[in-house]
Amino acid sequence: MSGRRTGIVGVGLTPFDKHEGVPVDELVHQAVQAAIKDAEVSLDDVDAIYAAHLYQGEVFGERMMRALRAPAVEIVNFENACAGGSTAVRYAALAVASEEHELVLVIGAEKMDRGLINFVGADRELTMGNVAPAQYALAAQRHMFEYGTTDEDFARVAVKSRKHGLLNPNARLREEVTLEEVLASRPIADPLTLLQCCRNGSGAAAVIIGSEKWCARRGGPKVWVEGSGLRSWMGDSNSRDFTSFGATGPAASAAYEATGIGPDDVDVVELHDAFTVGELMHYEGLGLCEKGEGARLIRDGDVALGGRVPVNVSGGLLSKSHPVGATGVAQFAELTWQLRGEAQGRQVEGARIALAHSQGGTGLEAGATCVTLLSRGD
Amino acid sequence: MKQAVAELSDEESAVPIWEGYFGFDDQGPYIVGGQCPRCTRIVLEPRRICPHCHEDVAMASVPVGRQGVLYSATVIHQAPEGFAAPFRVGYVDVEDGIRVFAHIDNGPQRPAIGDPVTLSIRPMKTLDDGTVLHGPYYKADEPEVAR
Repeated sequence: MSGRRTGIVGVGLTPFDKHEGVPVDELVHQAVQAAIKDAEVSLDDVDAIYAAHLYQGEVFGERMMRALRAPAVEIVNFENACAGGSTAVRYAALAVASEEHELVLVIGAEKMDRGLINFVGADRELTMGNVAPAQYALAAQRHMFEYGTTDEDFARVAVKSRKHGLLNPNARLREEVTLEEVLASRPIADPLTLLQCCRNGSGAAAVIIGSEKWCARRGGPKVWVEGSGLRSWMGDSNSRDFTSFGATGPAASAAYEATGIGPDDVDVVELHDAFTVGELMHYEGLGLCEKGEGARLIRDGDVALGGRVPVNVSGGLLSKSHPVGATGVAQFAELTWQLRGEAQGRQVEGARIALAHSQGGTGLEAGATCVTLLSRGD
Repeated sequence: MKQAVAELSDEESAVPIWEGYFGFDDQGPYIVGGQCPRCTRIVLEPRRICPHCHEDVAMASVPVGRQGVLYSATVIHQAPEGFAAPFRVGYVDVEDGIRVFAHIDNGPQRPAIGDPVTLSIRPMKTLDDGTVLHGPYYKADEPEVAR
């Protein structure tokens, strides 16, 4: 990332759950309160607020911040489907790095009901029944055909992430599941079974991005935003190799190029595991292994806590559920705790480089992927 | 022959699930492609602005997708509203680098990935008012029958 040094000053999380009867305002306010406390700043210090959401309506950020008597600063609302949160964090970091702003508050939040995610602008394939799990399943089937990946390989991702979720007090699902249980759970779209699909959820997360001055003001280890890459896929433009899911490869390449960091340098990853299939393909897209070898990482335990490059030690979306706008922002809360050495019970020892990945779209026809690299500074 | 004509007329009255996605001619059903009169390239669905040369053209409709090769397929068990589970969906690679999303035969003759497949038009979804929406459906090529 060009420009001045930029870091994460503070983070806050309202753990994801059903939160029935709780207004989204309250979820946001809790996360913001936790973040300003963690950053040791006042809300009045903030000179811009970026808000990510998908379903919460017009001027969401302004409506949420009104009741906190926030300063009447620049507020921008970000919509990039499930990648909205990571997109907002990217632009907050760019705004600080370019010296447009000193201290930017990013909020991501969502209140959701159960069931399949409904889109306002359903495209052709979605209209014909190509719902999200089916899209991932179609990618899985082709991956199995080309690379010999098995049902069990995908199911192992759920076993691994739920094991991590057990260690994370912020996770919503905190019971381990066995491979047999995952495979025997209700079929959704072959090879995906129920325990391989994340649940809808409600919740909020807040991240405060600031200049070096603001980072230095707060004691303790620093977390720098090294840079990010945001790329899209569009069915009419891209070659449609569905075994590379979404725009993970191009977004990762952009992030690695912007930072000079390579996949071998990464110590801990939070990635978009809305479905187990996605996680395995994102190992490949992020360059954690060669194309077609994603199954090896999960079989060998490389991506489990204690392994070579632990993935989703928070438990991932599979353990936390998926309040769309909050998901991408929450990844930065987890990775900040990891880099500071504060992730009790699930700490990746000695983590210095962290990678956040999230993506979203209306299907295989159009969407966005964002990859961000963070580092620890002492 | 009589029966074939009857089937055809029945299909022609089919309400499409996505306006203009398929059509019929004397060779049977097809997916509606659009061909740019300037750069001659063919895309799925005719449109006003050509995605290749970005000229404002009136694209001519051309039939594509009568046959293809199955790229991937999955059986959906949790059906969205109006669909009857389980049903199979997939992508079929047809001519000109076009990949078509469609429903795929899930019966005993179900095609596997890489198999050649043939298009037909079938009911896909039922609306609350009982209207049946139709869409593209591919099944395995029928083996040549000795005559």
